[in-house]
Amino acid sequence: MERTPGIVSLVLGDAQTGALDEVSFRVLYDATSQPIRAYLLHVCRRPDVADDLLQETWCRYLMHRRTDMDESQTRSYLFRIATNLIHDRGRSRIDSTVSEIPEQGRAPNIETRLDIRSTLRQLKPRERELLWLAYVEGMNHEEIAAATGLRALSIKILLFRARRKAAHLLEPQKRFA
Amino acid sequence: MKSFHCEHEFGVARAARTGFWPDALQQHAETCSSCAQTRIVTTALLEESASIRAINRPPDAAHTWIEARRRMRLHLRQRALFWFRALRALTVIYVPALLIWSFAHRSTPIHEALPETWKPSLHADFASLLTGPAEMFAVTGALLAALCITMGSWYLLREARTPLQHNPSR
Repeated sequence: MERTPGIVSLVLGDAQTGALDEVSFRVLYDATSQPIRAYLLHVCRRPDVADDLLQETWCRYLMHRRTDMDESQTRSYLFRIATNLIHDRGRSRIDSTVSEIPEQGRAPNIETRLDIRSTLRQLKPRERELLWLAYVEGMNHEEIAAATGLRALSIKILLFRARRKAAHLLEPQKRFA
Repeated sequence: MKSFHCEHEFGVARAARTGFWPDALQQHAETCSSCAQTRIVTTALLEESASIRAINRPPDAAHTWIEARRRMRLHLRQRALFWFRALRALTVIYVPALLIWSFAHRSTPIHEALPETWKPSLHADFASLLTGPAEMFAVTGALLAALCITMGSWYLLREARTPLQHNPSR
């Protein structure tokens, strides 16, 4: 949700002088893996695939990371890797069927959540990515551009279209809730 | 020109995330269609996010760390192998060349096989025969072999310094 705490900056500051050790990695992982996994799960909708892609994201980060990246750049970089992996997987058409995220919660609004989930499923993966990064992760246009590989100017109009489409899909639910 | 973006859009999204709505922003969100949409979508996505985070935990960091180290070691080994394969290719070129050169000079006395100008530097030992065109060829081969061995060894040493074991307290 909100930006990860300053301890990540300290860890990254230490890592700039040399290799990232396991303790520093654990701090970074604990601070950022939950949002990345939620993003992966929201877009690709399969927990097993999300776990695989999360691990692949971190492996690629550790192998190719630059030591001069600050906290914000690291976050964008991780989301960029995750987004590219989602697209690679989409291109290879490995997932022929879409399976649901298991709903194990016992919250009273479970039906509403299922409605929201099925509504959001009608959006294209790119639209889900943009909306998630903008409104859940709180990224601005430049950060979204860095995370998706799109141009910052294109983000504005793509986000507008995705938001309008999502709002039109969600509005009837809101009306009758 | 159609406006795609309200300047308060991200403020509205932030307010929906944090639950803190300043009066002015609240009033604006009620009148601005773009911000109203932002509010609806953000609220829905936050519900989705909360449900995902509540039931799904990421795998343990140690597994990912070990997997990343394993891949790094594999990557370094492949880099080292590249240089050792290059060394093997050099060997394939140089050993036959050396054999051909040796046999070619064995059939005739060395002082007859070499041009007149080389004779003063001629000695009986093998190394001193590498003069003239052979000298450049041999020195180049030696330098390339040294480069391959150095680079391959450097990657192998880096691999050795990338232990696989889980050691979180280090």
